[in-house]
Amino acid sequence: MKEQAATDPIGRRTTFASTRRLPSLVIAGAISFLLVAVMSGALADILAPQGYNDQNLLIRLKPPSFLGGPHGYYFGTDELGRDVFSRVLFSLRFSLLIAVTGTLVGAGFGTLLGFLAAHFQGLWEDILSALVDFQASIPFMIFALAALAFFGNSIFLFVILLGLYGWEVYARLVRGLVLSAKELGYVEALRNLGFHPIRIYSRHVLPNIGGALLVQITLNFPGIILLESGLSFLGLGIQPPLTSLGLMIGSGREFMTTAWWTAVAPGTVIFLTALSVTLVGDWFRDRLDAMPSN
Amino acid sequence: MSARFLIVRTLRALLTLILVVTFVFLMLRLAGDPIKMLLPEDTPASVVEQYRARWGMDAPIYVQYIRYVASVLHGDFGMSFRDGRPALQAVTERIPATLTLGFAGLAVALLVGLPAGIAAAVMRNSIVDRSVISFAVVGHSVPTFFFGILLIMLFSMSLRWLPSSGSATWAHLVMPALTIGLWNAATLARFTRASMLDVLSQAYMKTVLANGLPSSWRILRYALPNAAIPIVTMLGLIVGQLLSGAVIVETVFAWPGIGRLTVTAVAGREVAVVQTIVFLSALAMVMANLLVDLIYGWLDPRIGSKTGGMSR
Repeated sequence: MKEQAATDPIGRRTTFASTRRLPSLVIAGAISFLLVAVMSGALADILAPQGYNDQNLLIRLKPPSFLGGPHGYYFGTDELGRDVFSRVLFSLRFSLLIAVTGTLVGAGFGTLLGFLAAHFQGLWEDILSALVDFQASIPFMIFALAALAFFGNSIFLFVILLGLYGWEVYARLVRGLVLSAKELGYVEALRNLGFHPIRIYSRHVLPNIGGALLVQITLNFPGIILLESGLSFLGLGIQPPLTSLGLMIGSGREFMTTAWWTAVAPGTVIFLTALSVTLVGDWFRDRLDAMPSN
Repeated sequence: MSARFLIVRTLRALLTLILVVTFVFLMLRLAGDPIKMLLPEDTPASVVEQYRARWGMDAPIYVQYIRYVASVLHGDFGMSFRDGRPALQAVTERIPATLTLGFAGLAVALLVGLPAGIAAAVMRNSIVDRSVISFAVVGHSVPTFFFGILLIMLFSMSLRWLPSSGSATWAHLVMPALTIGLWNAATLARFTRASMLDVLSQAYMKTVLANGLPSSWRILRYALPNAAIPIVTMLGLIVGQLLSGAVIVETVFAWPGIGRLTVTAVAGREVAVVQTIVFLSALAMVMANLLVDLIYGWLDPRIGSKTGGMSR
């Protein structure tokens, strides 16, 4: 589940030859959807008509209210009579929180390694290179599942695993950017003024490459959402009584014949979220044009 | 392609495999005492010691490591608790099913992704191009498990054309192959388009154009071979994506392959089976990437002269 299309084997970015201009209406739609999704997750306590684990066994697997289901259940109910709409809102909160945390872990780890490799070069670059080779040698899904089998399931491990997804993209990107920054006059000038490298990197180089990092984060984020929901779908990610969009599809799958809305509602939300982030990320890259081309 | 290039690449592949073995060994040792994981909680200490000695766990860590590597080289990955057979056997019997699905998925990805990408690049900014881009973006945002479920709802439940789960007939293969194939086709189409656009903008293509050769000939004879180089690299990555994708798709469609075995083994914490799957998939990936490197070196002789790697 990896967007690796954008780099060649030795880590140079290949240009997607034309930067396409997306219709502004599509972008406006994507941004509004993301705003609504984030707000819904953040304000789930207020917006949700019910708690995400409130059961009502009298109204199990009832269709959405607009299809003749019980009043006030906009997306219908699931196998325990829980309100699917409320569960989607809370799932959105947990899924987004975990995906954002995982992304920050990965971006932080990758950025750190990128800086180390660019500063010390030599051995650090070899270590980075070996780690990248190693990561590329095991399909990430298998790697994540093996870690879960060896260490048992926990939220902490789960977030770390999501963070490990894609760290190498940040490491390569940052290494390249820092190496080219070191050639520029301002770094040389700061060094001659006697500033400590850590200060130069954190106060001067990092802000300069921040835009490119941010673009990379938006490009990686859909993959993280899909990975989180995929593992939760398999029952190996977020565990009940907590809920996530993938977990909802996983349990809704058993009721496809009788209650399709239990799987379709969270599935559509995942799809629209991943799609919106992708569109915004591409648009962002085109606008900033911050990615270094070869 | 120089012999040095071949040797360096093969050595790198071997080194990566050694890294994988070492990594799994370390993970297993970090994960806790394997004897305690195997035996019930109230086992007397003397029995625990007996097992420890029998399994060589009382030896120093480097001896354990050497023994571990030796057993892996002998294909001894331990026993599957569930059915009491060697883990390797439990995994290898699932390989044909996964290979069938993998090749079918790859075929779908190539048959859809390549022509779509080429058409989009040749007819740049046309309605075809826009459709292909939309397909690539949308296709990459649909979770495979959700797409699979939608297919089941449409073709198994509403239309009743195809069976929803199992692997008894070729009809069972259609939906899993489409799910895994179309997802990869989206990536491939996007990549092929970019690669073709790069080539089409080169000066020699303008010469071909100026010579007035027919357009289909122009593309097949002059553009495609050069565009193929990055696309072949992409295929190496797709092998990994097929393996990753198989985990979810085989679960959705109850396809009896390695992916589904992985999920049940992880849920039951069958460490022996899981480590076997890790080694075999790493082996498959390393072989695929080695093959890609060799094809790559053959397609573009310039590559054989440098060894690649990030620090260079």
